[in-house]
Amino acid sequence: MIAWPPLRGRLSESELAGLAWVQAKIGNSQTQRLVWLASLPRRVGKRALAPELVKAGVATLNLGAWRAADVAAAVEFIEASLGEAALVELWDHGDQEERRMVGRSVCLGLGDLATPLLWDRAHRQNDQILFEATFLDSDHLARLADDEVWARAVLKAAFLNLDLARLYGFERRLPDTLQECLADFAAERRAAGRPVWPGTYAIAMLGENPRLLTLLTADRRSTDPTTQAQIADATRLAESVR
Amino acid sequence: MKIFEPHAHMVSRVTDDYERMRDSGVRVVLEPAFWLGQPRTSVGSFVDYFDTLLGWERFRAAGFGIHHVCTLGLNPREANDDRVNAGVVELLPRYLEKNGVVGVGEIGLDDMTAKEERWFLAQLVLAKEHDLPALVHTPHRNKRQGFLRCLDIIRDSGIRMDRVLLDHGNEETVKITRETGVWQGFSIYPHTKMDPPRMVAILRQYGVERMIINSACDWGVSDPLSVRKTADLMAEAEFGVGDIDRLVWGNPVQFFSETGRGTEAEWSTPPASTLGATHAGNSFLRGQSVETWGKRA
Ligand SMILES: [Zn+2]
Repeated sequence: MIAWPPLRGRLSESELAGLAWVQAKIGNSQTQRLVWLASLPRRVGKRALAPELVKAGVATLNLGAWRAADVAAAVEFIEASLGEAALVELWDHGDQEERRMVGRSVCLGLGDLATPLLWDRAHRQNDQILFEATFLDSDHLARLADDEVWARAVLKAAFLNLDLARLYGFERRLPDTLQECLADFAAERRAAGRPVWPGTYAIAMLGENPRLLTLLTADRRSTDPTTQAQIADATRLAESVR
Repeated sequence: MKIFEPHAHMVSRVTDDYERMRDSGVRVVLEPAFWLGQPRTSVGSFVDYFDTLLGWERFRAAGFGIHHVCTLGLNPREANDDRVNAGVVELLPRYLEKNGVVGVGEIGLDDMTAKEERWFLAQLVLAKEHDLPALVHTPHRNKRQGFLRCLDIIRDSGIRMDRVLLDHGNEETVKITRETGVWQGFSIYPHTKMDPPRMVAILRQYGVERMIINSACDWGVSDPLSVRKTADLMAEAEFGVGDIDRLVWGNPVQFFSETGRGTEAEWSTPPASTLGATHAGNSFLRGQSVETWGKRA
């Protein structure tokens, strides 16, 4: 059991009142939770929290990715001591908002939550918002995923053109096989006349994959301002995590 | 022109339709749960169908800059099917608080059987309990009788008349519904039933108050742009911009937002299909001091 006093503290009086209303409806019955959790975004609201890195249990996460309703849901899950089965059930029967709230809470490592089941759910659907909510903006995945899950998530982030900086802890997880896959993916993109995933540059700087380094060297000579800006961003990112 | 398309079965439409709808001014599309052209044989099919309307279809629409909302319910055709009717209605409370659900529907009558009446009434009661409006499908044959019977059941249920949209109306039914306080829906089809010129004639006679038009596009011959085409015909017939806007935007927005499931401001702004935009400039938090939360007790 984890004590989380700061989490409630992130909500305003009126947001807490909305949470109290929903908690009263739920009354710690999973049947009622399956009905009323969905009303949290309407009762609590979707105010975006300010960017801030916090350490929650073992994980580091960026609160700037959370909305008031996500915080409220996490409070509800923690106070009800929900485990994996209950959270997976909420995901399976949830709407987009509910899945987003459940996906966000995964990084808190709640109770006995063994997250692979939820990672699997989030990976096997095409809704980009849910992929982002479950996998990005914390280092939970980098800490706990096995190599296969990790590689699949990074490649999906690349495929969706998401910001590598949001995959906290990526610098600790750069196996050769993943770098090879990224080199293949970059070659494929080039062959199709499309831009490579900008995250490729930071990974080239931090890893030692010869194909990625060749690509980086070539692109450093590019006169395209977008490529130059992406390489500059990648340099900053690589330096900040080195 | 901003359009709220209040009746379109998008699961059976292609991406070209979404593109053309967006380009014609559609900002919000409402998908009522209905039958799929043939009977479903198990409640599980409804579970997956409802989940599709709440999840994938909503995401698909957002990719084209269109808000997707829905009404959920047991349609009158399958209300006659004992393999699914009771189970689906039992399932509904779990869905009616979901985000994106703005009403109960399509419910109503089709062949006007006793079973249809029973499940129609039960679902009007659910709408009342969850503080939602009801989207009511009316019979395509024997319209006059069908409307009168629907109105009886609506009165019996105790739901507020102004929380009910009686759909698929025509010249005949306007006379019945006009004084009852319900909202009147008209489905505009390309060849059969109500077409744009007929609709414009009705509007000329009765005005736009409590009137809502839709394309009811689905897997049959139908036109997802028929709301826009009717609006253009109204402009040619010298209706004012205010009246046109009220018919294709103001009225459906008012009807479906009144119970707090959406707002005009939210629906006027395009939806996000990725969180990336919200996080621009937000993800580059590196090397900062980190506040530690929580201790293992
Ligand atoms: Zn319909």
